Amino acid sequence: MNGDFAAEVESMTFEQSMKALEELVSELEAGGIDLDRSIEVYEKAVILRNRCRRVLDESERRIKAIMETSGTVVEEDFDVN
Amino acid sequence: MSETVTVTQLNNRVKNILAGSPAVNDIWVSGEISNLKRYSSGHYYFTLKDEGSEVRAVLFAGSRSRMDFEPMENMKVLAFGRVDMYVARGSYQFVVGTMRKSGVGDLYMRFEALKSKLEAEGLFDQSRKRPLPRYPTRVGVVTSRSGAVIHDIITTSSTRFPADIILAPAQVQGEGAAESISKGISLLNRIGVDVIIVGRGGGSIEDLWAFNEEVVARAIVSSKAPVVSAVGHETDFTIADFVSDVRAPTPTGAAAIVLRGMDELSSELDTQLVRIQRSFGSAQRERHNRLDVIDARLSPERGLESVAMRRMEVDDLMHRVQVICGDSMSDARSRLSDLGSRMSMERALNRIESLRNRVEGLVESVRLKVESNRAVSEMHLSQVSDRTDAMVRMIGPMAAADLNGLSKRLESLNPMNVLSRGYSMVTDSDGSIVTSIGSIDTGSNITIRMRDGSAEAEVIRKELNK
Repeated sequence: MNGDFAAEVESMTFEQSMKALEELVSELEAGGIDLDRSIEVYEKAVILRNRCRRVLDESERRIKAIMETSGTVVEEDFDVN
Repeated sequence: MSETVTVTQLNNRVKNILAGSPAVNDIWVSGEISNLKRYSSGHYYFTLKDEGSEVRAVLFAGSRSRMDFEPMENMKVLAFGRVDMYVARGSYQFVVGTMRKSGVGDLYMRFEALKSKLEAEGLFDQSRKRPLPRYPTRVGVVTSRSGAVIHDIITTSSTRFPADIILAPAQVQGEGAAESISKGISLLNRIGVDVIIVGRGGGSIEDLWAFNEEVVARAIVSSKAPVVSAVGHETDFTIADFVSDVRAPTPTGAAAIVLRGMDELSSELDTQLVRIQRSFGSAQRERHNRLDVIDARLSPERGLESVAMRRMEVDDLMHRVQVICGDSMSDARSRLSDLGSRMSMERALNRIESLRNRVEGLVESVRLKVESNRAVSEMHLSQVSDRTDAMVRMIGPMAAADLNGLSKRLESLNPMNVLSRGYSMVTDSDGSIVTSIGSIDTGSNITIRMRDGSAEAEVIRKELNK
């Protein structure tokens, strides 16, 4: 079941992952959930945290410049130097 | 004959001509200040020039005191004054009565006018300000392709949330700059970005002027993506700053506002996990406490206590059961014995009844016999009657005796009684009683019935009595 969740998390954007993580934290903090559910929540939170970390570690920014030539927009790599 | 004058006379004549000519008196002259010298007397001497010419100028201390700015080298000014002849040198100069910085006044008025207009439209309202996306993936930048701004933004972003940076190159000063900037904003909106930074580095008010143009303000207002302005230095405020969603002090500041730092993101992630662990931990402690409470209730003393309680309850119940069952059992027992006695009595009564019926039948048949005989002879009537009476009188005891005999016979006829005396009863396969050795064959099956049961047997050999 957590395998499915991990796959689901992989397809999320960073923003969605952070939102999901915050929701899990709120759920756990609100209390009143049973042990099984809280373990599940915790496991999911760790999966989300790891995913977010990986996004931060692995993402490379692309730097582009856009031009408009005769009505069409063209993107080109922008030389930082 | 031509007149001869001295040099002094000549210069004085020129001075008078100049002084009397409205064309060179009380006029505004526009030019740029150069070779500025301020003397200890407080007077200023400088050259006013434009692309093609120059003129000496003087600003006396008294006139300077009525002005609100300090004349500076290369400053473009509008100077109000008159032309005067310096007789001793034979040169003329422009005597400045007062000065204004050229253009600036106009620009300032235009700035104020546009600011009031847009403010009246509500475009500066805080309620219009949109929040910036927390984790933008595409950040648009409208600025010069070659300036320090894009460089600063790229450098700053490298240690922050990894968003793509898309530059819409724009001309940020001079003729056509405003149009170029507003086009860049709409272009980024067309290709789709999460947030837009619009900016340029520091400069004079003229350099920053494009960001005070209405066309740029309108482009920012109608941008779908939130706009962060980063124009000039921290102290410079432009119309673009007022209408943008967020004003950043510098381009570096803009990048820092738009993209959150890795450290911040990382610690935010950790905080979330710590919160999870903490509330998980406290929930877990609560569970332990609950368990402890239950555990305490399960202590051996409490257990024994409750066992003793249960035992008492069981005893009590048993007692009640015994009371109830005792009653109903003795009741049942007496009913049973009652039934038993009634059963044997009824059987005896039935038997007596049937015997009585037989006796009465006999009596009736005798009576009928007597009735039929009565017609035979009237003569013998009395004799017969006497005999009949006698007979009848005899029949009563006879009938009683008969009853006794019948009873005894009934008893003796009960086959079970016979069997209880040690005799056996043999029946063949049809269930018929076998009374003669002649009615069974060797090898046939017979049933031997005794007082308390029966046995199947096979006739092995038979022998007739001699």
